[in-house]
Amino acid sequence: MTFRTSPSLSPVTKRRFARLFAVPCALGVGILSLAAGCGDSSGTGGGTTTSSSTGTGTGTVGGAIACPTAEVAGCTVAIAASGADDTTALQTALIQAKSGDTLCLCPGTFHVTSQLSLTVPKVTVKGAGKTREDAILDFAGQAMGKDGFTVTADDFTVQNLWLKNSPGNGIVVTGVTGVKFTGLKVSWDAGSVATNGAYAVYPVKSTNVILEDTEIVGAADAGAYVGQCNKAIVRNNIVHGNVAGIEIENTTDAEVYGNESFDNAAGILVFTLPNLEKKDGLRANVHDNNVHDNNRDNFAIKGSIVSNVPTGTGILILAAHETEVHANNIHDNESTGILLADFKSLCVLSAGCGTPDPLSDPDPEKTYIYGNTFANNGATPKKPLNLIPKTPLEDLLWDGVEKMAGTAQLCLGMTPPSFRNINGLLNIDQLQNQSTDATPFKCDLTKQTPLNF
Amino acid sequence: MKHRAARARALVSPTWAGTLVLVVAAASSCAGEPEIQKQKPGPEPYSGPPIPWAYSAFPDTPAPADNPITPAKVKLGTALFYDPILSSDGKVACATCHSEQWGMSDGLSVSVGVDGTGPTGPGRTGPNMTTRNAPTLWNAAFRTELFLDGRSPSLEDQALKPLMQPKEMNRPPEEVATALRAIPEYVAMFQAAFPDEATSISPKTIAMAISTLERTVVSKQAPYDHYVRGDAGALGDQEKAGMQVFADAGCADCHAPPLFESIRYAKRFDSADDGRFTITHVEADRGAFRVPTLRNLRETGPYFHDGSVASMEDAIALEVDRQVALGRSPALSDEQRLALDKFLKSSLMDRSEEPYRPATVPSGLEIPPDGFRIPR
Repeated sequence: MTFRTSPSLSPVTKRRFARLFAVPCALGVGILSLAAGCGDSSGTGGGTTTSSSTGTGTGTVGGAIACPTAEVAGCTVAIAASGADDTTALQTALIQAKSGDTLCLCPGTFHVTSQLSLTVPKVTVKGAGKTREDAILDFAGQAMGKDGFTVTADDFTVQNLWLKNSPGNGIVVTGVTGVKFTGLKVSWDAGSVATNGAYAVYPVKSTNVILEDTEIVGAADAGAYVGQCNKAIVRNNIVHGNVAGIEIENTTDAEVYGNESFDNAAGILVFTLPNLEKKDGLRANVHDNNVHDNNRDNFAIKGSIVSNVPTGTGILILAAHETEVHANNIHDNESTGILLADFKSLCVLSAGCGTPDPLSDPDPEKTYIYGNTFANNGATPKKPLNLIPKTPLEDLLWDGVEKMAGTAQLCLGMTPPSFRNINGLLNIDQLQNQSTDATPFKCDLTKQTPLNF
Repeated sequence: MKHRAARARALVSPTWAGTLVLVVAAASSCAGEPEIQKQKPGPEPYSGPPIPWAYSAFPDTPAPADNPITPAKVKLGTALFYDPILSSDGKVACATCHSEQWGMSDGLSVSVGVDGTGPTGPGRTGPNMTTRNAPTLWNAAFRTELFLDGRSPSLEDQALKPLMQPKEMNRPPEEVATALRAIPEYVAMFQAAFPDEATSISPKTIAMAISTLERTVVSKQAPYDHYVRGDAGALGDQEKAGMQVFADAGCADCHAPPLFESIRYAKRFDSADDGRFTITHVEADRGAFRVPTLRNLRETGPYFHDGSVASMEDAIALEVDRQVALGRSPALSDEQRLALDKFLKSSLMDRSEEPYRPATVPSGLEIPPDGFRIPR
């Protein structure tokens, strides 16, 4: 359903409209019926309980919060799904939250029809089920807003939830210091299709980001997307069936480890892109990941930058600086294990993308790739890497573009992987102008240290 | 805990929000004075955690008596706001220069109007560039002097001005009205929004609808707002220290809480642009521009009337240095400056009521891309 054909006012418009007059009107009308007692014995219907002795709810049980199917320690408020549209109940709780609160979602499926937002710092939102699949935020009916759940407040934690079917991005956290996504699942019932939301988990312009123990399936761009952040840890996630499994973009200091990324078009991207507020991307440390079988046809919307990513790529490093890739297990990616490229290469090979940005450096620099395990990559290269008239392709491909000789500072350690320098795009089908000699790149760079914050 | 109770009362109950009739009734009876008013400053009863200035409650959203906010107008205004049919090249919408992805501005020093290339945001270029930075629309509802020189007294007056500017949208409002009349979906939307107007699609009603949408773009749920409503933990120690610096350095005199702006004009840089002087012809106003809101500051850059300062931190430092040089502020330590930065960066951030970009607009034209990577 689109906005313009909506026959009646959407709940979000009602909410927006109502909020304009919320203070005087609510006082005047004197209605508040938040609490419906999800802790009552009937266990039916939606509602809210709170542990606050002066709160609005009922259902406090011995200091713990009751859900119809569980009692949960550590929750300040618990909300049960109603079976109908839960948007207003959820959004009301998010507005009413106080710093330090833990907002629990009882097991069940919450139907959300418009974008949720949180602006209160130091809030935790968590599912109260035994597993992350027990409490579900289902955005299938969302008619307005480009994100499922948007957060702009510091020290936010979200855990043990399943977010599904967001028509836009799943959960977007913008401009905060301190955000932790832990134990989530994000997916779309339709599988891996272009009409899914672009990014599933999307911290942007934020500092001190942790994304861990989360499964992401079906994002039409990047499943785990860290954009324009400072200090981000992405660890122990399982990402599959996305266009890109994990993307670190225009971010300074990212550590990506312990993840399994498979069945995407590309497993892990480390990008610096133009025309963004934060111009540089440096020091991504990608290690100890299992990056395999990323051979899914790129199903991104045509014209988007990520639609140009070659299917079958394990790790793609694009224009980023000081990227370190080590101790990964990279196997069975049909185009190549690792592709290192200039931003312009991606565009030229794939009919262009973006406008020039003089403040964005398109060339990767100081890339350090060593100690990875490669197996069975490059067997059946996909467009445009299939223009290289050779199979199997090497484990590491470099487009050979650098601002001037030596500026790329590519180091492959003392035992480089199989390697090909394409030597510029004009040579992509000219094997005689390419080189597979990695000797010039047998060197080491300073290793990064584990990220702590 | 009485603050919490007060906040709870302020909330919209599910029942209430879900009942359109009740909402409309409440709107007409609760919107306060029907005329546009300036914010009433001054102390009011306050029992929240400490703040370094006299408390003022966040004002109710005003609307003119002849243009109350209605859901039908919000819906229509949203469509118009994102529809490039308002421009001569069919590619520039209001949202081109006032995008929710760029702080209700455009991320550019000065804006690029019709015949430009590239999405909203850094990198957009073209032959038609304005001479001033696009003002943010956040909380425009509360402004009674619009544009950076304050030449416009109301949103209704302001809304069509960019259409008439050759370097902005460059399409006469009458021509736009004619084009809209040919689109059945707009005809229906205008009739729903303006059932009492003899000519429902006119420059006047176009302006009224866009103004109504603009009045909903309110930022009042920032951590600072939660704090003054009684949630003492909503601001961290550094933010509270920054709030104190904000007061001590005299920032709050012009960027007055709770809107963190005021209807005042200030000169910052020598420039060929006479600013407020072109309206008042008072010499003291030469080169002066309206004091902007600091809400959602981190997203509204580049800063100052010409967008000459790219980074928020640099813009804050310039202002602080000026206050110190003028003897209006004590010298600030690095720690105090960082605290001030943090307060302005985090404590005033709330974009939860941003307009929702529709998937399509009734003209069928492409909604101008916002410069973020995946359009929806």
